[in-house]
Amino acid sequence: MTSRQERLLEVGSLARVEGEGALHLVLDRGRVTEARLNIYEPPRFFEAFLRGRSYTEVPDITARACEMCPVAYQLSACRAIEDAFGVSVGPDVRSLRRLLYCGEWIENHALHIHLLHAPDFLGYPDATELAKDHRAVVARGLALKKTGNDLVELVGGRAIHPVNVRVGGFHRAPPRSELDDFKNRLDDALEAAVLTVRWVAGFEFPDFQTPHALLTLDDPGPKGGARSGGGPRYPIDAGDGVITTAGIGFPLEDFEHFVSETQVAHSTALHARLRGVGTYLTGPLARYNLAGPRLWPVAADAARSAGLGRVERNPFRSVLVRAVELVQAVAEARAIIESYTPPDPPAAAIRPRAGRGYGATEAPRGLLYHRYDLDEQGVITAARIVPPTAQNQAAMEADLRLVAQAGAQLTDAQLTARCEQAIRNYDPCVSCSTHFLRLHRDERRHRHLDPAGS
Amino acid sequence: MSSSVPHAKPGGRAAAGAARAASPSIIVIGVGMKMRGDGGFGAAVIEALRAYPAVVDRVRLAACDGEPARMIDLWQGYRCALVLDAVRGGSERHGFVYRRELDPEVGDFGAQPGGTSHAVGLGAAARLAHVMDRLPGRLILYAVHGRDFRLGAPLSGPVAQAVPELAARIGREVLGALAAAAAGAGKPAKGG
Repeated sequence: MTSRQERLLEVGSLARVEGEGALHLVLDRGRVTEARLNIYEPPRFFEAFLRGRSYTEVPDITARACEMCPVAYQLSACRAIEDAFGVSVGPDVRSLRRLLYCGEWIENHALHIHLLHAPDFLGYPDATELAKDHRAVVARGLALKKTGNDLVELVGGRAIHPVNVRVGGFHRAPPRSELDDFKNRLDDALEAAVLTVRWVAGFEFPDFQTPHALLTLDDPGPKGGARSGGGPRYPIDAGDGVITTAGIGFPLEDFEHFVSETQVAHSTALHARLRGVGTYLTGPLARYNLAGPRLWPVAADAARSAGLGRVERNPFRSVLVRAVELVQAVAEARAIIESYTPPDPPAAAIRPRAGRGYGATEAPRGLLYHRYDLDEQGVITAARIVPPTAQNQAAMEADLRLVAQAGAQLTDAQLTARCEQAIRNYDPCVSCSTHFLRLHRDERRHRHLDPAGS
Repeated sequence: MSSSVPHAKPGGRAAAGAARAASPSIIVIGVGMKMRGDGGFGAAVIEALRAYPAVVDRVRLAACDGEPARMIDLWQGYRCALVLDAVRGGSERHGFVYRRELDPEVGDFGAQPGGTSHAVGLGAAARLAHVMDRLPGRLILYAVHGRDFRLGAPLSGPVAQAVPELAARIGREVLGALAAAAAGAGKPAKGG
């Protein structure tokens, strides 16, 4: 006979509009047989909503797909539409875009490290309790976050849902004087970011190795000599191809051939798989493993000092990689401002034409892919958006099975906390809720019946 | 906060006798986004308040996604912060507007009418700000009980109806507070 007992371990008050996370674990005689993570993601709505809209509206509409990474949505969209129209933007626009993107990385990573993930590692229930004992550290996180927010606002015109981005470039290029005022703040931020790496390096990381393939955008860097900083770059705002640890790489236009998405019953997010390979992860761990040699010396030194090896497959150490990427983003932002030339004009000329275009960038939590079909007037006829959280979800579930199995003996509260910590490794959109997880543990206990039936 | 200033109306210049602060001492923060059904309530009220020149001149109006660090950054240093958001769950009083003021000693709103519709919620932001000494002098939550939070949905009927009502109420409330502050000699315009 099989008896089935379902226990609701925690029902958080989360009602975050991006979605609500729920994890359903099935245990059979102490063995975790199933881990189903239910995450709602909104891009499907936006794919439909964009149809019939002019290309000029796309940056502002897609910015609303995610409140945590609007710049990623805007710039992936711009790159896809420019690809369809055959537009190439100049080096000054590219630099300003990278600066804007660095701002988004700084604010996202600072938030994630200090306020969301650090409490897990240090044994605090949330950032408020952490702040009671580590006030200066939380203050540093808030200051870094504010630097990122203000940089996005300075370049993007607004801290949330930036309004200065358009296909081809920007509506307005900030003058040098506005950016020069930011140099000192970035100098302070660089110091704070390096301290953050040292702090995170002292965390105790559960021993775990993810078996999945890793996938990231490949940015060969701008062509055009020293001024444009030629050569491969750490993937942030640009890239024309995809590289993986599975030994395959492909141009962006083949993304949907190599990455298949399937519907699963328990989630509205599609599950992505790499053709011929299976589950994969995108995000900081993938970027570091595949593009680590492209980090700038200040970030590479920080990584080395923190004990990161050339290969790093422990997702619990992705928080450390995020700290290293924080150093990279701050250093790059500082350098871009130092050599900044306002793009003139601020945007390339656009002549709509019928066609299909592909664009991708590296959102803080992983590769964000857009594809658009447009008619000769520049009206969207089809849209496809593949966000990083959906790409990671199947691998997250597989990893969660292993993590939950290792912690099957834990109390309900402990297991919930461990699973939350594990899910935050991948920084899904829902993870910015401190307690976002609704964990169901479904225990199936098998008992042998007495043959006599007594 | 007084509600005794009756001049706050769209298009009117109110509180003629009130001293105009060099920088606003009050911030009104609308949490949310238009494309998410009743989750856009806060943003809608902010838009409605922009029709009150007397408010626009004297009060900072801000939109926010509800992320705690950004909320703290917005309200830090203000004498008073009003946060507008939507809540769901619980009863069926759609369109009903709750008003809660933070207990500055506790740094917590206590039991909220339901989860707010954004991020970790105002409660977590307030608790963190309390610990970090980054609360405004007063922190007041206005939260509407929403019905429909689907992406792409418009404000539901009861919630849409609450928008102009709350904008008018806030207009009266903040202008009354500013008039009262101006009447009290030498009070600082800004400070925690």
